Formats: sequence, structure tokens, C-alpha cells
Amino acid sequence: MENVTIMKTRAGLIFTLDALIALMLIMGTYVFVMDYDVRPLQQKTNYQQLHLTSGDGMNIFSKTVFNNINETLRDEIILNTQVNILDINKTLPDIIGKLWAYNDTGYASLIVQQFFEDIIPIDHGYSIKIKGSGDDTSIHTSSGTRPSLAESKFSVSSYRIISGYEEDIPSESFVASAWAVEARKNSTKIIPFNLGGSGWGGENFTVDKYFTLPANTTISDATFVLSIHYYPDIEGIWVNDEYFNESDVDWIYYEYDAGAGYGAYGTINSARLKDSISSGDNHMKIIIKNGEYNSHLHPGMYLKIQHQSNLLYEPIKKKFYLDNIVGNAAAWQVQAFHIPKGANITDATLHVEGNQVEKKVSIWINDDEIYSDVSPPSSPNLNFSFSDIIGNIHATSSSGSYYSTGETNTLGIYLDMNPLGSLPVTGGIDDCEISNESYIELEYTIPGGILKYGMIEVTGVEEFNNGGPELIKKANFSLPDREITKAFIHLAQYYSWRVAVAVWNEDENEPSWQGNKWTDYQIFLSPTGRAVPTDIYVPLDRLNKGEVNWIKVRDGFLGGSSDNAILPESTFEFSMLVPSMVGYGGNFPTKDAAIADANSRLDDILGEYAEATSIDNEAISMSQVPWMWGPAYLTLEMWK
Amino acid sequence: MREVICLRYLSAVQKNIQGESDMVYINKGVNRKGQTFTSDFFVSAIIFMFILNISYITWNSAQDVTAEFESDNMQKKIFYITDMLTRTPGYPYGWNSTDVELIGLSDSSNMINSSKLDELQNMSYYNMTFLWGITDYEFNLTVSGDYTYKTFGKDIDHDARHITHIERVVLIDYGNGAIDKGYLKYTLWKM
Repeated sequence: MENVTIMKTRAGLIFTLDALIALMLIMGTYVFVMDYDVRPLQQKTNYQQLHLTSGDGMNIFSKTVFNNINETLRDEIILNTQVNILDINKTLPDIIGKLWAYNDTGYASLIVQQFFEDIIPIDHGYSIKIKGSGDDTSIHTSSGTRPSLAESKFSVSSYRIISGYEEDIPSESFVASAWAVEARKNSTKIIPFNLGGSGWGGENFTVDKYFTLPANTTISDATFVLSIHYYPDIEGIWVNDEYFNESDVDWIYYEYDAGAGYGAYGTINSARLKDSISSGDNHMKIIIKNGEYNSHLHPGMYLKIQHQSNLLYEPIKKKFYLDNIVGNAAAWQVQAFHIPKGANITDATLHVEGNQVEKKVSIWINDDEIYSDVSPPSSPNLNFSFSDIIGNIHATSSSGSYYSTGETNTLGIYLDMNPLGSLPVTGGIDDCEISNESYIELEYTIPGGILKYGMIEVTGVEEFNNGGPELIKKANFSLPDREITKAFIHLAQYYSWRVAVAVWNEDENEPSWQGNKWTDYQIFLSPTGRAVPTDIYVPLDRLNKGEVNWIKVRDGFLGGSSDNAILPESTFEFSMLVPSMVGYGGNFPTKDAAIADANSRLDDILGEYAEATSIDNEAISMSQVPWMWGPAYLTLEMWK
Repeated sequence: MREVICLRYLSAVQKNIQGESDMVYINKGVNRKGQTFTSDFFVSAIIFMFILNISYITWNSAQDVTAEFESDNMQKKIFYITDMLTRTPGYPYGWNSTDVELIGLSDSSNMINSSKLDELQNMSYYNMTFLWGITDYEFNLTVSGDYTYKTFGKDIDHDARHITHIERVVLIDYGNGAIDKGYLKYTLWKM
């Protein structure tokens, strides 16, 4: 038998298996190696280079000062914008911010272009934007041969924060406030004549009216409203020394009631009347008679004065009463009183009453004994006038006026004792009394400077002015959105009996008449016939400021008649507070502009009610305060 | 099958010898001289060629990957070096060519101090490569502006196998208030 070599067949078997295993190994290695994610290195490098150029570009831009840019451009910017010579050492982002705040982005663009054009490669595009509290503002975007952002494959951005700049707000600016140190208020003053009578049988009925107007009052107009019942003539009307008679009256309503005389309503409004009234004390007198009935005044008789006054506050009058003190065998008391510093003291009076005084009366103001009596009456009743005591009050004198120094003053009253000792040295035996009727009264005016912190009170008067005389009269008034301090209704009638008045506001429903009164919101009801006051107080809680308010008045009930009409000349008087100062306003590039703005705002707020005749201002500079405005974000975007 | 046939052949041979026959093995067309062109050979040749091809491709890919790694590595080095140059003052702060431990040219970010640039000129090439950790590479550093042009290292060999380049925008402070815009360009290569 031949020995057959099996290896031939076996060689093919081993080769095949080895090859398969080797193939598997190599395939595995191949897969493993090829799984390595090889990004195109060139693209990554380009992106990194772009990133570095952007960051480096913003860095060097932020470090370059204004003085280092092209001199021609620098000088042109200084000449034509708010950037000045003092800014030459500011960095370019600051200059860009300032130009942006002043809306000079054209020059900002030139700075950017000049700076970046020769350091950013030509195959890159770039832009600078700035963003404050609003939208982005584009300062500059490259153009020409440089690629646009739309064409780019990738872009990067670098940022800088700049403070102290805000769009449209000057970075160096002024703000100002203003307050009226002196102001003239345009007011209407109503001096009512009370309902009253009467002159029977043709005899005189005389009314004397005294009133005072503030010093430095300028009267622009005066109207004397007569509402009287008389027959057949008016004897006379005197306003201070000026005489008026019936021929001076413009009668609006004039009705003869046989057997009763005339019921008349009319006015005197003339330059002669205006000129007859003055600041200070005034006196009016009217004499009427009625040969058929009784002469009397009807509701609605008043003197209306439109005036301007520098005296924005009525004089302040304070009375310090002493306590009632009874001591054995002496009585003494020290009363402190204070007048604000700078107040003009216009009057001061002292009244001292004592009882069972035996030996001595000693009165001191501060460290001056102003009175001493070692043989006093047992019940001294002493009065001291302004001239007696003003020299002892803590005050300075200037041009005949006295101004408080602000120090506390003391009034010392010593009865039957020596004020410098503790024992009665005058030998008094029984009780001694300081009466609580004793007082010191002071009158002064507040200096103008107080207006800086306060408000001024102004008064306005509005006529009903709607239709003709009516038994039931309804009127409405829009009140300003100001604090109302007082309000009155001055009814005008030429025949009156008794009235019911209701006042309501927009949020309430109109009241109706039920029985003999208004169902709601009634503020006045005549208690009896002929009890119709010329001025009826309106409770302030009946009024809504800033809204329409309603008034309804009726007569002719409970014995009245259809003649008791309410006239449209009835008026509504109200007083309100108007601010006399304004705070800091907007920013302005110059101090004068800021002050002018503050003064204008003060005029607006005073409105028609007053005119500031002397204004103090405070203006402060708002500069070099980087945290005041901003921040703003400067963005350099680059693309390729 | 072949084994069976062979056994049967053996068996047939044995039987032939013995005069007996059961199955006769017939292997048409096969004789010892034609062994190279058998199907076994073709299959193994194909497999071999396939393996060879795969090996070649894998080797090339590995070469590319290695090259990428190398370039990436060089990029990182160059970023680090230029960052140190443009954003740090170096160590010690007022270094000179003999005591420098970290080379930095900028007292503030992107502001090259020209006096440090002058001091760099006093350093040897080897010293610079050593401090930067690039002794296996060659480098060229150029700082240029409107009023200055300084170059360090060797001339760039553009035929280098691996080469990478970066540019940084800088300001050059001459110390007398004069400041110039310029570039710092760094090239690193390996043959």
C-alpha cells in the first residue's frame, strides 16, 4: 500500500482557518482605528484663530486711549461732539459709550473702522454693537471686500461691559430742583355778609363789615354782590372812604312785591370799587330802609375779591394761657414760649391776673423784669402791649421789624415773693393766686423759606351758572386732584325762606326729596324760616378730589313759596393745597438747562393758582458716577 | 468527503493489492503538477490579498491619525506659548535672559512690553525651546508693528512634515507713552 500524504488535504484546511482568524483580527483593528474621529484640522485651526483674534482685538481696543487714535479724527470729534479734551485719556470703549449716549454714533463708527481695519485680516468680517437697556445699536459693520455675516461659515463674539453710559442720557449732566421762596398766589376771597335785619317803618338798617386783607395784596378785581330787601332807596354803600349808591349797582334780579318792597339781587363791579379796597384793614357800611316792610339782607350777599398776595400763609396767632395757681403765702409760675427762628413777630400782648396779692407783683420776660409793684392791688389785672414786651423777647430788629432768634423765651410771674429767693420775703400771710385768665399772646408770620418743604393754600370760586332761578337747583363741579382744605357754598337768593342742601360725588347716587329733606347726603337743613346762611360749610368727606361732585339745593318747603328761587349766581368756594416745590428732574447737559427745567416744572405745578416770584434752586452734577448709568455691553463679532 | 474518498482510495488500493474493490476513487483533472491552481489556492490568495489590502489601508489611516495627533499637539503647544507671551509678564516678573523661568512679554493682557522683547533677544535658541518644552520642534517668533520688527528662532521651513502657525493681535508699549498696534506670530514645525 502506498503511503498517501494526508498533509496535502490538511494543508488547505489549516490555511483557511488561520486566514479567517487573521482576517477577523485585522478587520477588528481596522474598525477600531477608523473609529477615531479625525476632524478636519484646518477648520478647527481657523475657528481657534478667529476666536483668538476676536478676543485679542477686543483686549487691545479696550486698552487704547482716545489720544492714540488718528489725530485728525480725534480733533474733529472733540470739535463736533460732547467728547472734550479732558477725555483724551479715556479708553476707546468709554469714548464709544459717550458718543453713543449723545447719539453721535457716526463718529463712533469711524473710530472703530480706523482701529480694526488694519488688524483684522481682510478675509474676516467684523462688527461692533452696543446694547444698553434698550435694543442693540450697531456702531459699525465691515463692508466692501470683507465677507458679510450671511456668507460666513463661523463667527465668534467678544464682549466688554462699560458703565456710566445710557442711550440718550448725557453722561455728564446736571439735575436740579426748585422751590418757591416767594410766590404770589392768585386767589379769590369771599367776604360774606351774614343774613340779618332789620329796619322797620322806613328806619335805617345799618350793617358795618370789617375785614382784613394780607399785606402786599394786589387786588385785580372786586365784586360786591347785593342781595337785599328794601324800599324805596338804598341810603348808601361805603367801601372805606368811597361812596356808592343805587346807580352803581347792576341789578340782575329786581322784583317789586307790593307791600313788601323790592327783592333785589345785583352787583357792583367797577375799577372804583377795586381801587377802594386795600391790603390791611377795610371797612364797609351799607344803610338800607324799607318803608313797606322790613329791610334786611338776603342770602348771597358778599364781597368777592380776586387778588394776588405774597403772604401765602395767614399770620399765626398763638396764645399761651398760664395755669391757675394758688399758693400760701406766695404764687409764682414760669411759662415758656417759643417763636420759630426767623419768624417776623408782628404782635405780642401780655395779660396778667392775680388774686389775694398782698405785698408784691414781679413780672419777668427772660432775664428782664418788665414790671414790679411793691404796693399792688389785691387783684391785679395788668395788660402789656407789643411795645412793652417786644424788647425783652429773643428777637433781632431790622428796619422796624422783629425777627425771632429761635431761642426759648420764658415768662415769669411772681406774686408776694422775691423771684430770686425761695421764701416769701415780703411777708405775705394768706393764699395768693395766679389766675388762668393770664396769658401771653403772640402773632407772627412764617418766613418764606418754609415754602421749600411745604404747600401753599389757594382758593377758587365757581358760580353755579346753570340756567335761571329755580326752586331746586342742581350744579356740579370738577375738583382738581389736590388736597381740598375747605369748601363752602354761598347761596344767592333774592327771596329766601329755608333751604336744604345735599352734596354727593360720582360714586354715589343722586338723593331724592322725601318729606322735608333729602334722602341722602344732606349737609344742611335750615332749622327755621329765614335761617339761610350766606356760607354753608361742606364737609370734606362729601367731596372727591379729581372727580365731578354734585350739589343740590332747594327752598320753598315748610312755608316757603315758589318765589324762593335759588339763583345761578350762587357759588361754590373751595381751598386746596398746591405744592410749592419740585424735586430733581431729568438730566441736562448744562446746569442752566437743568435749572430752567426745574423752574418750568415748578410753574406747571403752581399752575393758575400761584406765581413764583422768587425761586431757589439746587443743581447737582451727575458725572463721574459710573454706577449711575448702564451697564452697556460692547460686542465685537467676527466671522469668516 | 475527500477523507472518505482517500480512505476508500486506500481501501481500494489495499483491495487492489488484495484483489478486492469496493469503491474506486476518481480524482479527475488532478495531478501533483496542477496543485497551484486549485480552488484552495484561489480562495487563500483572495483572502491573502484582502488581508494585505486592509493592512495597508489601516496602516495609512493610522499614519494620518498619528499626524493629526501630532498637529493637534503642536496647536495646543502654540496656543499655550502665545498665551503665555501675550497675557502674562513671565516669571519672575522682571525677568532677564539669565533668570527667566517662564517667558511672558505682557505686563497686561495683549500689551507687549518692548523691554522684555529686547531681553528675549539675549536668550539662546536652545534656552527658549527648553523653557517652552518644544525641544523636539523648531520655532519662529515674530513681533511686528508700525515701529518695530523683531524675529526669534529659525527661518520657517515650509517643507516640514508638521507645521502650525498662529497670529495674535497685540499692542506694543515702548514705555514712553508710545503704543503701537502689532502682531505676534508664532510658527512651530517638525521635520
